[in-house]
Amino acid sequence: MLPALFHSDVARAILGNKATRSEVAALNHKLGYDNSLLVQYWHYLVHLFQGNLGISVGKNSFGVPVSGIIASGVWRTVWLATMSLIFALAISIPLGLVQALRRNSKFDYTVTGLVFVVYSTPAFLLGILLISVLSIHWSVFPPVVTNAAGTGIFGPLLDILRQPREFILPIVVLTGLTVGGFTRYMRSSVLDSLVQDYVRTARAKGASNSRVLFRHSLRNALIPIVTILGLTLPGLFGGALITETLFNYPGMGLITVQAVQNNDVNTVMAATLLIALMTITGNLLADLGLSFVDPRVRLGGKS
Amino acid sequence: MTDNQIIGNIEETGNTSTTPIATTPSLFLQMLKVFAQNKLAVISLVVLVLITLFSFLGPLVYHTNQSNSSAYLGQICDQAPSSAHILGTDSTCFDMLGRLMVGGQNSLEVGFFAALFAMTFGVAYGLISGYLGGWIDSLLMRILDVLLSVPGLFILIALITLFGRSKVLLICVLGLTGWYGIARLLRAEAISLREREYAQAVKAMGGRPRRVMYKHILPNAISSIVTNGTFAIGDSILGLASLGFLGLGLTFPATDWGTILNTSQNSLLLGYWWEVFPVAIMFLLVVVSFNYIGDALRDAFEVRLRERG
Repeated sequence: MLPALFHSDVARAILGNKATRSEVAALNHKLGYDNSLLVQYWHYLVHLFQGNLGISVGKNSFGVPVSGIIASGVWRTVWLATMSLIFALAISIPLGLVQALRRNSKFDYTVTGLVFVVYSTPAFLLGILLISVLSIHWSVFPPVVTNAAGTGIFGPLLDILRQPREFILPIVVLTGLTVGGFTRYMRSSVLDSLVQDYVRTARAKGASNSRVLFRHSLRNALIPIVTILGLTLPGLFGGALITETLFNYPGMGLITVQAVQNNDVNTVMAATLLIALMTITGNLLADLGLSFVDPRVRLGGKS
Repeated sequence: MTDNQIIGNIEETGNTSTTPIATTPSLFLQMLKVFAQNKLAVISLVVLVLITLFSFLGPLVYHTNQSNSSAYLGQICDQAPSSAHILGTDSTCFDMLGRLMVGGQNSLEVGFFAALFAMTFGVAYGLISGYLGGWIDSLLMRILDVLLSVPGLFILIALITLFGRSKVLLICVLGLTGWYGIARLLRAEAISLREREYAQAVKAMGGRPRRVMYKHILPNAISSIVTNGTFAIGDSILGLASLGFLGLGLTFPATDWGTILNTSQNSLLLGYWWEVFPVAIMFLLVVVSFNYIGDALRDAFEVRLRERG
């Protein structure tokens, strides 16, 4: 119902100040905005379930189907987020493991301090800093993603693999968002598992140090990480929005921001719905993944 | 006077006579001591006070024009720091130092009031959900689950597209998206506290649910409320800055830290560091300070928990 509240001045915004009142009324009628709010909401829902997200009501893109505007962005955001998650896991799992093994050492404290700094730096500040140092000062990486033409499911992935230099900064910024939390969780998770009975048993039966660590401790310590993975998704997509705007990468985030600047309510609504859907799907995948890595969850229901 | 009030009065006088008043100040001092032991938190507090004073009292000492950029017509914008403009001027010719003060005022105000809004709403929501339980609890929590599944920034943006971007609206919108955490926490507190003897006793004496919630559960949940309130201010300031950075903050000529960063994004490419780094550093200091203080407060309140045992 929320978009409906706003629609009264949409026609005015599209037609401009010179339009007569009857012209505005005619466009409102054509768009269905002269119906009551409930009727409008009902139409919106019916169309939604038919897979019709409506048309853009932005001034620059009036009449273009919203689905067409959004479709190209979805997979770009998904791949950007996926790559950053892979990076974050690849960094935080070993880091947290070593931190746990050398608890309260200098290394532990240094990493904890660093992690805290990265963790509390918002995405846009990290982005600005990286751009100013790496792109402007040293020109190692380009400050914007210039070539993101890939469409379809795997197009964006090919983009990333083909020109990694352009994508390193956005991915690093997004990684910085999650890597701090992951490392903290990994550290405490490994610490927890090291004092478990099964680790002591494994040591007692004479298992080698690395076997105890990787086979008994690490495997169990990874279980909570899967849950955390699902929980970070909303924050990750929020960060993707900032990152995409910063690096001008046309994913869901940039599309949303452009739609807002364009007063395109329908596209903003559709993008928000879709992001929510992606988050829920991600959470579902995390839950399924949990039952895959942890047999106790799978068997829990049967007993 | 209704029966309830009479019971309430009796019970209140009973309370004061059984709890030795002498322990209360010492408890507070103890908490203060724990807080003071945390050097980072004390430094953070000093930093916050200084930045607040700078933002609100600064303009009284350092006069700048911050409302009408056409007053600078004919002047060169993007001036480097000089004696006339201590931190230079920005791309719209405003004095940067003055801009920082105005931006600081708006950011701090919006952050504080949005957090207040979020806390009030979240506390009420969590209390009702946790204390009443049953189908009300399930309903309220499912609503919360739905809201939690949408990334906060996207909700913020959607709401802003719909409602606009004035200061009051930004406070409301940030408040509306900031209460989820505290609602969950208060619900958990309410569920555990409502089973305590004193809550049960009030109930047995005929105290209405509202009385139990306000007089008995709320004061006992004060530690999580204060700690989370501190984090909430930091989060609101961060949220406003994110919006501002996307160009969706306060509208010109009003400004906030994020909006300043947004306007001066290209300045970095041109080498105008004074338009980016002072505001970035100030903003980061504030956000980190709120986090440190929140952490220290949590530790300080644990003293009380230990005492209560």
